[in-house]
Amino acid sequence: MAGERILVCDDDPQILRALRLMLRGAGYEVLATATAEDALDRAAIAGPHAAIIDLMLPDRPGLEVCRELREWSELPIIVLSALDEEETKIAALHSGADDYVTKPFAPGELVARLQAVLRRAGRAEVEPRIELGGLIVDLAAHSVSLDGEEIRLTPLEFALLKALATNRGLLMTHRKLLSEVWGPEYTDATPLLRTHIANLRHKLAVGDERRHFIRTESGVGYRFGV
Amino acid sequence: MASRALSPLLPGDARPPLLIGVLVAAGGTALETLAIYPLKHVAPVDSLIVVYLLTVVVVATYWGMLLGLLTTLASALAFNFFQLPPVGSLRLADSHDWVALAAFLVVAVAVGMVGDLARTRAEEAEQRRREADLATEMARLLLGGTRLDVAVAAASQRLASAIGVSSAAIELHAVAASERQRTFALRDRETVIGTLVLPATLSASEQQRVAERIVPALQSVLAAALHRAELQAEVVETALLRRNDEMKTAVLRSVSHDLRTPLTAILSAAGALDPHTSGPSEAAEARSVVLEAATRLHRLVEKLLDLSLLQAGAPAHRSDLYSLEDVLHEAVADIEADASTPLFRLSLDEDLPLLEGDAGQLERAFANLLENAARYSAGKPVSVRAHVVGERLRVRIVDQGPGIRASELDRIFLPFYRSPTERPGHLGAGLGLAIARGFVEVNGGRITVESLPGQGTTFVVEFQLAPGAQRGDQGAPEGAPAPARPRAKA
Repeated sequence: MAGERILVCDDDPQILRALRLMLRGAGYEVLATATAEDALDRAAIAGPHAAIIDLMLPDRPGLEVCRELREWSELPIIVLSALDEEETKIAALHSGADDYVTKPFAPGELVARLQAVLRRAGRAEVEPRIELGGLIVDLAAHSVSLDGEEIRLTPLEFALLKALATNRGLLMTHRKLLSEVWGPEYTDATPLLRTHIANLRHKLAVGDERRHFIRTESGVGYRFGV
Repeated sequence: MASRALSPLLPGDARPPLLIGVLVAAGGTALETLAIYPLKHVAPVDSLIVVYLLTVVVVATYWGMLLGLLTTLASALAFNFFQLPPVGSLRLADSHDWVALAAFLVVAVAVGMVGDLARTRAEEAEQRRREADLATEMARLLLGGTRLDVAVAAASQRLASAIGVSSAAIELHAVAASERQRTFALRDRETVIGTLVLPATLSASEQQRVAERIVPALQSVLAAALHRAELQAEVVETALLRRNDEMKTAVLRSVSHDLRTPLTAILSAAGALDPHTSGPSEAAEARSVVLEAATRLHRLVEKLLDLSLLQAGAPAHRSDLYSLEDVLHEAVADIEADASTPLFRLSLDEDLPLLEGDAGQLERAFANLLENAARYSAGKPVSVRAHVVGERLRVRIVDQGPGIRASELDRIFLPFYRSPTERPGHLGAGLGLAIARGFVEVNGGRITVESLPGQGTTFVVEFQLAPGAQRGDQGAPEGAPAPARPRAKA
């Protein structure tokens, strides 16, 4: 990951400086911009590996920047916003953002999310075996075990867990999960998804109760991993 | 009688004067008697009695059946006396003549009755038409207007002229009758919704007519108008509530944005510091970011506290003599502390009088005004001038910013107000001017604003001086200075 270029766009000078410090500290190279136009120019010229974009920019809305970037690039985008509202999150994800971080965020949270989106972008093959805190999802053998104990899942539950686990740390929206596991005609069947997530959590809640493998992103989707 | 012409709705006895009727009856009969003389040469005498019917019809129609009957009798007597043989006597020579006279009497009475009836009917029809017109007009006035009080006043006036009285009033509550006024309760089903008040000069028959012909239509229209006004009030209230809700959401969003932004900078900068890997330059950078963002957060929190203090009522308030010059210098230093170049050009009269009030609060008020002016002046210096003008001490803060549209001038002092033309979230929280006005007014001053879009904005702060106020350089503690007394303390 060393030296990956991250485009950062936020018009607040203190935040921009703080993000630069933080990302440099984590080993990234930072392209700092304060306006939407500048961000779009730098994205085209400097070829960043990922972008972190504030939703409130002086010249144009951040959502427009996401849409415009998406027209020609698969660049992973994380959106920053000071508004913790579901509609805003959903609008950002629909505009092409891969993830969403609400200000203020815990130190390390942004870096973890950034690593997740970069990992997916750079990933060539699906890992055949995913391990996380005692949970082993063996995609080749179609089996799941927790602390060595095998857990019996229905085919749907396994497909759901697979969709989440192979995108470890990434935000999976309701629509994305439904379309991937059930099929594109099910994209609005959120209650169905909730039921199966509840069952899956119940089966994974053996032993140490404090381990939460599936995190809820309220109103938006789910995320696998801590 | 003259007033009758003005009161078509209350005709009572609308017939022409009786004296004229008698004259018409006598004259007509006499003329007809004369007219019969030449006619006798071309027609049998008996048949000529029909000539008298003309007067009978006219008199019966205009003056009623009674006078018509008398005219009939007079005509019969005149015909008998002057025309039927033996002429000059009431005796009748021929039985034909009896028949002719009897037939005339019957026909004349019948014709007279028809004429009288027709006229009565025509009058009634006219009466109904006027009542209908009046009801329509009441409906138009009461239901057409936007404000009920204005509509009721117009309807009352129209009603007075229609009834032919000097004044009429529709009151929207119960009113007791008195010696000077007659009252008619207006009801919606059982509830009294208003009262029609008319002068006591109204006769009994006129009162009855008002009660029967005007009140029923008026009360149903008034009920509809009241109902409509109620609905309208509800609509307005709902719209207000919704706007209020929208405003609260906007305020919450903007405050949450303004609080989260510096917090994010602090958390990120602190999080970037790693005791093992961070070098001195990273540490210095992180420190400066944390300090700047924390200062910003501190300012915002202070403003929110000031505002809640002001909104909770008059804030605790020290009252001392203070020098406005010192307050302005402090405020300028406070704002310029963050700036690399001077932002303000001060021009203060040398001997400004001392004022009485809370210097700390006024310093915050001026700091907010100056901060606002500097922010919009786009780097061009802001002029701050203070003079004594007559009985007032006046401070003018003039920026060279984009100016404020006239439609916004009265709103800029509202807390959290942000111009719709401003991009969101990047200038202040919309608190500064509200705080400035709050503290200036609490200390007896007044803020006004003038603006020329495209040229700049001037905020004017004025304090009323006590008569004969001492100049500041002479107002030493000893020698009983007469401080400027803020109006609020008067």
